Amino acid sequence: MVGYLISGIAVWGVIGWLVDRGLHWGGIPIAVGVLVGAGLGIYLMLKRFGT
Amino acid sequence: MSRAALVHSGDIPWPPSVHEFFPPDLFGGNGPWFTKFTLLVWLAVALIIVFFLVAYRDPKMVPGKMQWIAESIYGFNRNDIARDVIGHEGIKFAPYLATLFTFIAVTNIFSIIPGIQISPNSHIAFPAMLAIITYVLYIYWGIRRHGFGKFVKQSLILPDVPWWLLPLLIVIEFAQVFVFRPITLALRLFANMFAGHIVLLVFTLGGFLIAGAGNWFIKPISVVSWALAILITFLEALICLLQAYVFVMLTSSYLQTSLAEEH
Repeated sequence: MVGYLISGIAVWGVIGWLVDRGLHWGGIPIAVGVLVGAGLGIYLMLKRFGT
Repeated sequence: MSRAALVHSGDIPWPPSVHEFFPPDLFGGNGPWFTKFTLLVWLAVALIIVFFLVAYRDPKMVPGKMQWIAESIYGFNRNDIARDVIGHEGIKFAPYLATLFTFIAVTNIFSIIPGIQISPNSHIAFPAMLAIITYVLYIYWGIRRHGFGKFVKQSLILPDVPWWLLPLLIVIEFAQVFVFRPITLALRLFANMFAGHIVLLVFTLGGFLIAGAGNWFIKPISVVSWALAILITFLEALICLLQAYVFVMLTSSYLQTSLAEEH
């Protein structure tokens, strides 16, 4: 279950990192990716396991 | 004991390192073709087969001690894991789950048996193999039950989610179901057994190191270190069985999501 939260952060964090590597925006995309990923992960968890 | 000589010679293998987990070939060969781990895996398999054969050789209505233990192990996997997690059709997975449970439990317990004191599962290859079997199994059953397209769709796409959110979620779901599940499954078992072995080494060898210290005020502390090593051994016994349970529990939980009709 917590897997979704971690997956979300990992996947979108890495995507953010890739974007940052391409565009050199000083790490901002990584932060955005991690936060968005965490949000999506929690959303997924609630959808899958919530009532 | 020869350990006493070891203390004075001052060549205690300190600090413990990953080399502990790459034992040499038992027949003196160059490659890792037949190491202590190979021997232990075969030993575990033999022990499990012999135990269950002997326990069920002459089954009675009122089971004897051995039959009772064997039936408890199988019953636990069949009723409390397979049926409760997967549902009624989970019973057909009970043989696999029970085998997995006993194999992991026995190989884990090797880590605290005096004279053996290391588990094959503290080497990533063995948990990885077990995780791959589970991975293939739940994907196979998902495809067999729903067909490839529907299984992938069901695994990746949640019902009633706003369309603009779907692309963001599909990436996470894909990573979770097809990439992270087998990796975390293997890593969890491996890391627990690896860390347990390292911690035991630190306290046991550390005790010898303290005993070998020149200062007589420090020497007695080695007893504390060994006492802790014994306590941690009991904790390890608990972790060994718990990790076997967790592995089987997660395997059946993954099977359940593969077999489920609609979420």
